[in-house]
Amino acid sequence: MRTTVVLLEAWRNLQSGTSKGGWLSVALIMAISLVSCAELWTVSALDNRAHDYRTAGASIRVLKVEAGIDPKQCDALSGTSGILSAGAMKAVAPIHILSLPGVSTPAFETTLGFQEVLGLGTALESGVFISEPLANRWKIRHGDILESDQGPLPVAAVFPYPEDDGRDSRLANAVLLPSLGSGPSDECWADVWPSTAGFDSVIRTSQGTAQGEASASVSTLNPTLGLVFTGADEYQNRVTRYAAAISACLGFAIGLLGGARRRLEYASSLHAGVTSGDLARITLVEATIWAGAAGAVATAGVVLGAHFWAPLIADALYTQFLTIGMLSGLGAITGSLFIATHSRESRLFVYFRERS
Amino acid sequence: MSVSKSTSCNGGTARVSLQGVGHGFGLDSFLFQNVDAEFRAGSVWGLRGPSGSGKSTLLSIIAGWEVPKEGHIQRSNISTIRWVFQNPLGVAQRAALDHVTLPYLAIGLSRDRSEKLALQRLFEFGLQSSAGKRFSLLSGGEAQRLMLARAVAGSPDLILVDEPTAQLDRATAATVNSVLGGLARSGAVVIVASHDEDTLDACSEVVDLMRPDIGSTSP
Ligand SMILES: Nc1ncnc2c1ncn2[C@@H]1O[C@H](COP(=O)(O)OP(=O)(O)O)[C@@H](O)[C@H]1O
Ligand SMILES: [Mg+2]
Repeated sequence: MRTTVVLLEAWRNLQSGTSKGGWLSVALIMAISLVSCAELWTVSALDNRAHDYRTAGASIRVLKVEAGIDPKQCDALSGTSGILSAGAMKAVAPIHILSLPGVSTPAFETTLGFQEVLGLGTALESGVFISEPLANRWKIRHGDILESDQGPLPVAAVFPYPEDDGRDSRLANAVLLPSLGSGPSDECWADVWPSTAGFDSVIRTSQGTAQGEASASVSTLNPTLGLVFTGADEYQNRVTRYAAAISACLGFAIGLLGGARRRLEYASSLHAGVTSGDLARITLVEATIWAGAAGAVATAGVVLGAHFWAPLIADALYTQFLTIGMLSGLGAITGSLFIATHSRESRLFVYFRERS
Repeated sequence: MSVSKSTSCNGGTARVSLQGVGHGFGLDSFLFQNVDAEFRAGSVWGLRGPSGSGKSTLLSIIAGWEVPKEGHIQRSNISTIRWVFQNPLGVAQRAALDHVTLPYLAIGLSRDRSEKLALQRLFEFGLQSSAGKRFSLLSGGEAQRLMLARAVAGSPDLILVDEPTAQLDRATAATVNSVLGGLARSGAVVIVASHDEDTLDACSEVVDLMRPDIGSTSP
């Protein structure tokens, strides 16, 4: 059969509706969208959880050894990759605010690294730090001055520190004083991300060399969301990591179904003298057109949709979406070809037996 | 069993001879036995027998799909076989013309040449006005005539037609019977199995499966 004839036959099959190319495209578009959306949904749910985990302070590991932490070594932990920030603090004598007689407010001395753990910069004007909840209660803002028994204390920063998300609440109701860096601290905080307990032994090295205890326990600032974030493992083990393979199988199945309907037609063509090679070439052209169009449309739709609805994670998933689109299209073509190449003229014999 | 013999042979080279052919599906039961026949090109050979007498079985034996329990078959110059079944088997959404064009395209002819030849076949089978119709819109008689036209296209050596009018009313069947002669012009050996006397009348030679002693020849 001439190549132009092959192309024209394929085109007439498509255009006459013999291939059911429209329905098959719709099925393939649905399969691609379904699988891609499942992947997007899974990843974005994990991403949201990761975000919640971090904002709840659950990724911050806390080593408590009263007067047993070397603040310099603790601050230096942030040089370890995997530890985003680290800093030390110790409890000091409570402060009395003159406008609140009879109330004593806990106070902590914190290192430069600790400011980073709290999400504050390191280049701040001198003064104290208080949490947002406390600032709201006292109706004061960054820049205000607290009159205290220790003299006027300018508020250099207000840091976010929700009281109701299950985290260690001490800092919510305290005044933090930048440390002069002298003497041992009580606690070393380290923000470990991705969250793991694997750095606990590293964190323990912030105890001075002499009195260091290998057994000192490391906890998390907010244990309510689990001691470590399992999201990374869940990401590795998510069912949708097979999305591309699943979509290839779905495409294959759609190709098979589309072809299975036509086995008698194929047998009849073979009987009319069409070689199985020509039948395969016609089918290849037909399937490439409908599956290619469906794959391109669906993938473009998915990519656009992800771009608008989940812009933060979309970038990480484009390759996956392209793979899903390509493999499902290839699967569909393979499925169609499978039927065409496995069609036998002898199917007519079965038909003849059953109907004549 | 005997076979009507006619001398009105066009002298085609394709030929199928049966000697003492018998077949059946039970252990010792036979649908037919001792069938001797010489099917030559140029005539339309009818195969008569009531329903269940083994006509379709004998056709598949002639096609080589089935091996008879007894007897011999000799096929001379037969390489391409085309079947026409009692239910017309077409592609619903493709045009009538496309069905007849396909065998020509398959042997490598151009689209133009194939369509020209296919239109000639359609004309021979009374379908010239239906060329552009979709198969699904053809009447039963048109569809069956289309199957005959398609069988002829591509010059097969043997055409086996099984009950071409069984699904049709008498008037429609007549339109099919009237074009059966066109099959003979193809140069193929043509065998038409039927229990319809009108169809058998349209054949030039008839082999009777049930009454071996009475062979008949239509004028
Ligand atoms: N493969 C088979 N196995 C068993 N019985 C069969 C088979 N094929 C046909 N028959 C039987 O043989 C008989 C003749 O069938 P068939 O050749 O179709 O007759 P006809 O075409 O003359 O109506 C029927 O009774 C049918 O049921
Ligand atoms: Mg039959």
